Amino acid sequence: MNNYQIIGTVQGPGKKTGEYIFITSNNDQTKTGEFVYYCFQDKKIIGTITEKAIIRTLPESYLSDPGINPHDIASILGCDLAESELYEVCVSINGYFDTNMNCFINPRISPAPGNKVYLVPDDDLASIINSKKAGQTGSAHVGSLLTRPENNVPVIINVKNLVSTHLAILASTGSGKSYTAGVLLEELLKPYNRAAVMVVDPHNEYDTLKDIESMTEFTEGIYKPFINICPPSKVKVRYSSLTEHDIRYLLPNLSDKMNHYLSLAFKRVSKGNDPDEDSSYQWSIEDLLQELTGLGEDKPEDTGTIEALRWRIGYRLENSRIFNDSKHLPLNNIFKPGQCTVLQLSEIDQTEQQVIVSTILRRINKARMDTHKGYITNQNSESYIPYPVFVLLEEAHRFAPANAPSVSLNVLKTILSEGRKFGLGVGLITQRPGKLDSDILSQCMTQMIMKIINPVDQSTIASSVESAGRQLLDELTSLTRGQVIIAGAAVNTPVLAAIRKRITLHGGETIDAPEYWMEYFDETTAKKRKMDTTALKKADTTEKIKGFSI
Amino acid sequence: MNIGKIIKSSSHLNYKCRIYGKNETRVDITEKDFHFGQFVIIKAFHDKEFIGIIYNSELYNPDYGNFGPRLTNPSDLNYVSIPDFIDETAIIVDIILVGWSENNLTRQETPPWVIPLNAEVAVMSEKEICKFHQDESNRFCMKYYNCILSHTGNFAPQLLLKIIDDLEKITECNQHDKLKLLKQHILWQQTNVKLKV
Repeated sequence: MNNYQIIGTVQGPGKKTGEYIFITSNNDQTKTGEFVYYCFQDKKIIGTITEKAIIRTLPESYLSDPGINPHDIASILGCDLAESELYEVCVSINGYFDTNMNCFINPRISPAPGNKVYLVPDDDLASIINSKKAGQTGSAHVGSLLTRPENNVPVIINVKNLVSTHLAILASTGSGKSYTAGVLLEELLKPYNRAAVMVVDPHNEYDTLKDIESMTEFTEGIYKPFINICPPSKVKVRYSSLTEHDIRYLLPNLSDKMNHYLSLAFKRVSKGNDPDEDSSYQWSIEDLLQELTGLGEDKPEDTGTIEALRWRIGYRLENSRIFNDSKHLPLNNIFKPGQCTVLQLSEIDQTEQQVIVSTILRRINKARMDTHKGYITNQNSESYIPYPVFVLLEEAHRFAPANAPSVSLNVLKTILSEGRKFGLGVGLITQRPGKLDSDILSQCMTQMIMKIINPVDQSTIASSVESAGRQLLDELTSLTRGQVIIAGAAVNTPVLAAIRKRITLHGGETIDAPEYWMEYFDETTAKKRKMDTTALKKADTTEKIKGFSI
Repeated sequence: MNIGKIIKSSSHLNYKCRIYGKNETRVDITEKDFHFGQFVIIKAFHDKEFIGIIYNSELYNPDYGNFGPRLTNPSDLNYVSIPDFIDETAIIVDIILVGWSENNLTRQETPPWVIPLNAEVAVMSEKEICKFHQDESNRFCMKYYNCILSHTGNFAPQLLLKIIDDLEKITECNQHDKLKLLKQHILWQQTNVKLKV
C-alpha cells in the first residue's frame, strides 16, 4: 500500500466543533471508523471518519435495469469517468499523537479548504492506536483493525489499563462475546502476561481453555500456564464466609420477626466477627440452629416463628451441595499467576450463584486490600495474594442487575470503584446491557462492544459508555459476528476491530439442531438405538439330552 | 446527396440551411431527405467535414401577409415577360453541430472552426452514422447528448428520442437495451420532471 495515499481534499469545517469535511471519489477506503490525517505545521492531524454522504451520483433511472451497468450509460453519453460518484466525508479530529504523553493532542483548528487528506499508513496506525507492541509484556493482541485488510493493523490492548480500570464485553447472543473473552484469556495466559485470572462460567463454555496447558505457544522457560477447571461439584462455600445479608438473601420472604431472630442468632454465632476479617474463625450451621433454639427457649411465645426459621435454614442451607461447615475454595488456589480458574456454575440455582460470586469477590477484595496494605504478611495464609488478579464474569447482568436486588451488586460496586488501587480487576460480560446496573457499567473504563440490536440495550450503551463516539455506536447494528468496537482506557482511541482467531477451541458454539435431528435417523445410529432398547430374548428352557441339562 | 446549403448561423453550433428547391438539383429533394433528427454532413473545407443534426425547420415566404390588391401583371404574363423567375419561398432547417471529421477520423465534439456560408449540406448514410457513433475503441457513444440538451431548446427531448429510435434500427443489438434505458430516462424526465440539464 502507498504510504502517503491521498484520498481526498478538505472542503471545510464540519457541523460540529472538532469536525471537518473532505470530498472524495474513493468509496472503498473511506469506511466509517477509518483513520485519515491532514498536515498542519509539520504535524499529522489524525481523525476518524464518522459519516459519509453521496453528493454526486448517476440519475436513478440509469440504475433501473440491474442488467445494465449505469456507468456504461454515462460512458455512452460522454461521461466516461472512472469514478463518477462523489462523497462528502465527515471526520472527527483526534489530533496529533504525542509519543511522549502517549495521547492525542487536538490542535483546535480545522484544516484549510483544499488541504489534502491522506490515509494513515498501516505501520503508523499500529503505533498510534496501540500503546503496546505485540508480544510485549502487558499487551493483548485481540484482533486487527476492521477498516484495513485482515492482520495489516493489529489491535493490541493494554492489559495494565484493562485490569486496573475494568472491562465490559457487551454483545447480543451469538455475536461472539464468549469467543472474544476466550481470545482475551488466551492473551492473558501468554508468556508475556502470565495473569492470575478467574472466570465465572455459568454455561460451562470455557473448559476448552484446558488445551492451553499442552500448547507450545503458551510456554516459555519454566512458565507453563495452568487451567484450573472447577466443576459445580467442587464449588463450595463455607457457612462462616456468609454474611447475615447473604443468608437473608438465600432465605427470601422472611417476616420481620424471623429477620430479627436471624440477626440475633447470627451475631451470637459469628461472635461479632466479620467473615472477611477473620477467616480462621468458623461456625457451623448446627451452631446457628442451636443459637436459634436457645432464642426460642428464651422467648417461648415466638417458638413457632423460630421453628419456621430453623426449618427454612435447614431446608435451604443444611442440605445444600454448595454451602457447608468447613470446605471452601481457598483464594490462593483460585488465584495464582499463570493460572486461569474456571468456576463452572451450571446446574446451580441463580440465587446461590449470586451468593457464591459475592462471597468470592468479597474475600478476594479483602485479601488483596490486606496484602497490599501489609496487614497480611504470612505467606501461608490463604488470603495472602501478593499479585493483582482479574475476574471475568459471564452473564454479568445476573450478578449486577439493574432495578433488582442482588447480593453481589454491592460488592461489585465496591470493587469497581476501589479495586484499581489494590490490583483487583473485573471484566463483565453480558448480552443484556440494559439489564446491567448502569453504575456498574459506567465504571468499566474499557468496553468491547459487539453487535447489539435491542434498542434498550443500545440506549444503555450510549448513555453509559462515554469513550466510544456516538457515530461509532451507530455501527452497532451493522456489526457482524466477531467484529467489535473497542474503546476506553486500554486503547488510545476507539477502534473497530475484527477479533482474531482463537488458538484453543471455542466452547460456546451454537448447537446445530437440524444436524442432530438428521443424525437421529442415520442408519447406523438408528440400528444401534434399536439394539440398545430391544429387550433381551429369554433363554430357551433347558432340555435334557442323555441325562445332561443343555 | 446534397440537400441544401448553409445560409446563416445563430451561434457557433447552430446553423441554418436552406433546402434546395425544385429544379435546383438534378434529383428533386423530397420530404424524406430532410427530416427532424436527420444526421447531415456539411462539407466546408477540402479536408474537414462537420456533422450536424436537423432539429428545427421553418418555411420562408416573403409574401406572407401580402393579401392586398396587386398591381403587377397576371402571373401568366409574367412567365412570358420575365425570363428569370425567382421563387423566393424556401424551407429553412436548423442544424446543431455535434461533431466533425478530419482525414477520415470522426469526433463527437464541438468543432473549433466556423463553417463558411454556402457550404454544402448532405445527408449522412446509415453506414456513416454508425461510424460516427463509434469512438476510438469502437465503443458505441453519444457524447453529443449534453450538447443537444443545452443548445436545441425545447426540442431537446423529442430530438433525443428520435435519434435513439433511429439508432435502434441501425446499431447492433447489444446496444438496444442501453438505448431503451436511455429512452425511458428521457421519457420519465420529459413527462414527470422538468428536464434537467
